[in-house]
Amino acid sequence: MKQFPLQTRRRCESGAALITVLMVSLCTAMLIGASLTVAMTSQKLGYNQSYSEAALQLADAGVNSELQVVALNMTNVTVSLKSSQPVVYNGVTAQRPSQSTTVLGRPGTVAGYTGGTFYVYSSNDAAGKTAWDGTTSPFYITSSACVNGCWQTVQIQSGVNSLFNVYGVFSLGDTSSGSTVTVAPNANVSVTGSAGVNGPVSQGSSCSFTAPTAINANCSKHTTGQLTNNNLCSGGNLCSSQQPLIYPKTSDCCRTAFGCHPTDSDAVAYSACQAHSCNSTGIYHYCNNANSSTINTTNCQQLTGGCGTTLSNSCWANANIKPGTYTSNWWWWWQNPTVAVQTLIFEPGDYYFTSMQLAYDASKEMIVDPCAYASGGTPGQVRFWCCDANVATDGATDDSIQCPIHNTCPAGQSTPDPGCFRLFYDKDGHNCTFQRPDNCTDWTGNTLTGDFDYYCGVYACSKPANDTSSKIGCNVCYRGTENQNGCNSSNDGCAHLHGSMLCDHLEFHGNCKCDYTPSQRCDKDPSCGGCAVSWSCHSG
Amino acid sequence: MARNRRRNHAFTLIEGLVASIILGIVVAAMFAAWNACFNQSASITEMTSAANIAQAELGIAEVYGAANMPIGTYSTTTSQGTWTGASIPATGWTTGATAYYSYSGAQLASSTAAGVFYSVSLTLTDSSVLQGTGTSYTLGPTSMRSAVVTVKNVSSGTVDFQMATNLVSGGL
Repeated sequence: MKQFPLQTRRRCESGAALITVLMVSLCTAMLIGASLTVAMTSQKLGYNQSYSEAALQLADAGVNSELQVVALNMTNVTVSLKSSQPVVYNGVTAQRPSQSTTVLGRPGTVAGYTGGTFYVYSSNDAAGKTAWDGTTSPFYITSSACVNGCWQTVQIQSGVNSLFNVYGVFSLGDTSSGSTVTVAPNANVSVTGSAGVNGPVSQGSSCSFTAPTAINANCSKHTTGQLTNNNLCSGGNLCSSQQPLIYPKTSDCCRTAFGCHPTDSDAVAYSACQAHSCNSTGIYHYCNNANSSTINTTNCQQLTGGCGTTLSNSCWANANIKPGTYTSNWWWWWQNPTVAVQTLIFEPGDYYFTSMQLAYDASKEMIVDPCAYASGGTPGQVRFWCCDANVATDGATDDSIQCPIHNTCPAGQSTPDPGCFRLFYDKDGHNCTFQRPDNCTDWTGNTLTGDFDYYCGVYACSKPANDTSSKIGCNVCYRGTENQNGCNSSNDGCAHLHGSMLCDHLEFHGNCKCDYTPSQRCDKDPSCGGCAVSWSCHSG
Repeated sequence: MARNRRRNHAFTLIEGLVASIILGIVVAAMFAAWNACFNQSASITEMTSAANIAQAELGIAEVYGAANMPIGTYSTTTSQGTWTGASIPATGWTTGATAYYSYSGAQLASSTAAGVFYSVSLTLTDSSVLQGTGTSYTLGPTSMRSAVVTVKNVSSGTVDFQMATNLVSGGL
């Protein structure tokens, strides 16, 4: 048997320790490398998660910033300035990791935060291919944000907020001379919601004008002469804004409503309004053989010929009698029944008038029917446009509504929605009066008590505070009974608005109430800004 | 044969020395790496926890909504209102307050509570507001409230994380 000598065995074992250590070192180095790789990956994941959350919040900030931009630019006639555009803005070079193109939208950030930037735009479509046209609702707001290389994108579907849903009353005008709100001596005006002015306020002796929130706007121009603490209800707030509140003109609303171009003239807009009006087709009255006063398709029929462009008591001339309102329950065959009440029912749609002259007459009843009960048609907003296509004259007369206006309500609802009835007034230099006359009697001859209620939004703006033209502005006057016995006492009553009123000049006489009531159905109103409807997000 | 045995012994000693040195270096590197890993892990945990706290604070603000968050003081210089405070369990949004959290993200009653690690404050910067009397103001329909949450390490005073968003009436 061959045996290895000792020397040979030692030679074979020499270097074993070094090799072992090197192998251990190699294994350890691999372990260290793996650990470091895992640690760095974890760190990157942790950072990414944290920064992604921050990016998501920043993207939300972009959406809210855009909603503010939309609200601030609602009066801008240039569509591209109403919102941020889906284009590459100057100076923007950022690209999302998954895209080879530069990110679209207006860049911005949050005040006091320097960690990242958002990019936001509004569009008609979810894909962002078409910029928002300023009227389409709902529209989409898309906001992408980057924080330390982490991107998030949020997109919301936004609806428009009605300009009638913000203030109870607001006097938007500011003439160089005179007041924009006049409260006559002994007038008693009670406002809920916010009451605001761009110009001076004139209050007569022994009058009262109170609101829970009073807003003085345009304060850089009017340091005195606006609303005071005396105009506040107990615990109310008096606020001010250096800048005036600028809302669209009535003609702008008309252009929006009838799809006119922003640069179209007022005459073109009101001609379109007249062409699309329902004056001849949308007015109903009771059938001759109606068996009850319930407004439905059986009892009501279209008023042949409708009404012209002057809304006056003569429009009721051909209206049939409201069932149950004869002064006598029987008559001889040679006698005609004594007409007690004739009713006109206005179905959903637009009505164009150049003049409104409605004197109080207990035998004339006016009903606005947004529920379309009389025609059986589609429920919708009833809009009165009182203006004159001949802008050179802006109409020749003042206008007056001295009768209550009744509204139909959906089933199960007892209070009318003011969002279902709008009056847009644009007769510069003229006056539209809502009056509850003294000492009225009803159709039976009994003394009338209580208010004349108007569930609607009134809009009358021809000369905003920043308008330097020679226009004067529109005046809306509320005139309640002047007996000073309170609205609900005998023979007395208020001109009582339930809704909101935005006009150049405001005037109050006698007992008046303005109860700010936000509209429920206001999808056809001009927008005063956007509001989030639904939202989704996806990371990038 | 004797010379060969000596040479073998010397070689083994050097070999052992080299091996020991290499082993020492490897062990030192291993500990350094472990230390770095532990530090990174602590840093990640601290930052992600701070981010979670910031997100929670902003989330509370968003749930309250622009209209219900507290109103601060108006500056005529900037024409903006500013409010600073924090959400405290006992008192809700409290002006001038700072909220305190543990390392694990649990809210604590005060700065002296055991285990305090983070301090949290929220700053609101309000634009397009309606100026009131003195430094008072109210929010208008176009007001926007910029909210920035700052989470700090109490012991070092350094900012661990900031998160921000805008709040508007009718917005997100």
